[in-house]
Amino acid sequence: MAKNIFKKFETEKEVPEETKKELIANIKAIKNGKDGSRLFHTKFYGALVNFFKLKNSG
Amino acid sequence: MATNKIFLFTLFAKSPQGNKNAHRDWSDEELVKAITTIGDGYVFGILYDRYAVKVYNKCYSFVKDRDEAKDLMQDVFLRAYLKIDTFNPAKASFSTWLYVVTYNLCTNYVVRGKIPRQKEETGNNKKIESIETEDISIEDINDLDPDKLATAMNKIAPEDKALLLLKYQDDASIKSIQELLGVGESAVKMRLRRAKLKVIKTYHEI
Repeated sequence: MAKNIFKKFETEKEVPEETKKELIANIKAIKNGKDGSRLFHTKFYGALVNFFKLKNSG
Repeated sequence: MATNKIFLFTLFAKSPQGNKNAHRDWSDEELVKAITTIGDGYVFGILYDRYAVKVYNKCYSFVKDRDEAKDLMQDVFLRAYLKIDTFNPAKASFSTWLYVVTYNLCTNYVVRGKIPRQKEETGNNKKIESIETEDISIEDINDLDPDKLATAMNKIAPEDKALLLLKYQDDASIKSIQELLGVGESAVKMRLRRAKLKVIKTYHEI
């Protein structure tokens, strides 16, 4: 049986070396941003909620 | 089992003595679980190493420029990282999911006009509609000239090209295509049939 023709024109060009470094740096930046926003939402947001709760009850 | 590995990974990841190569032989699905649990860029790098050549060459096949292919590949992996929690191993393999992300970005890139798109003759569509009940078997296509077929693939709509590559180059099943595209089985089969007809018609016109 003939080989699948679509696989015959699949190229094997080399990936530029710097790409992985750039990608990992971008992912780190995204992760730091996510961690920062999570920190804000949990710690600071929670502190604000508690503050207003205390203020209302007081 | 995978949960245990993830636990062990998180344990080792915090230790400078931890064996960072232990998870190199993990399955894609296990790596995805680790990434969704701890969002680690290093583990995502392992997936990158596995698929970078394939994804880069797929991007290149759409844009025909190394720099643009590199930028597109960056976008593909970043998109994959951001959307990784939408990957569902019950619907498709990780490779199929990643290739769908790749084709979507490549198609959008071409359709948005960054790459001049070959105009399809409107007359062709009428003829195709009239014969769309016919089907062309993959065995018939396998007998064609590969270089000429590659040229024909670059002349058809990028959506059709993407679908044909997904099915016949990446061996995606009809079921996984329908799951990932969110359409029914008959719609996938019809789109495939039309794409095959278009590429064969274009092939014979070259």
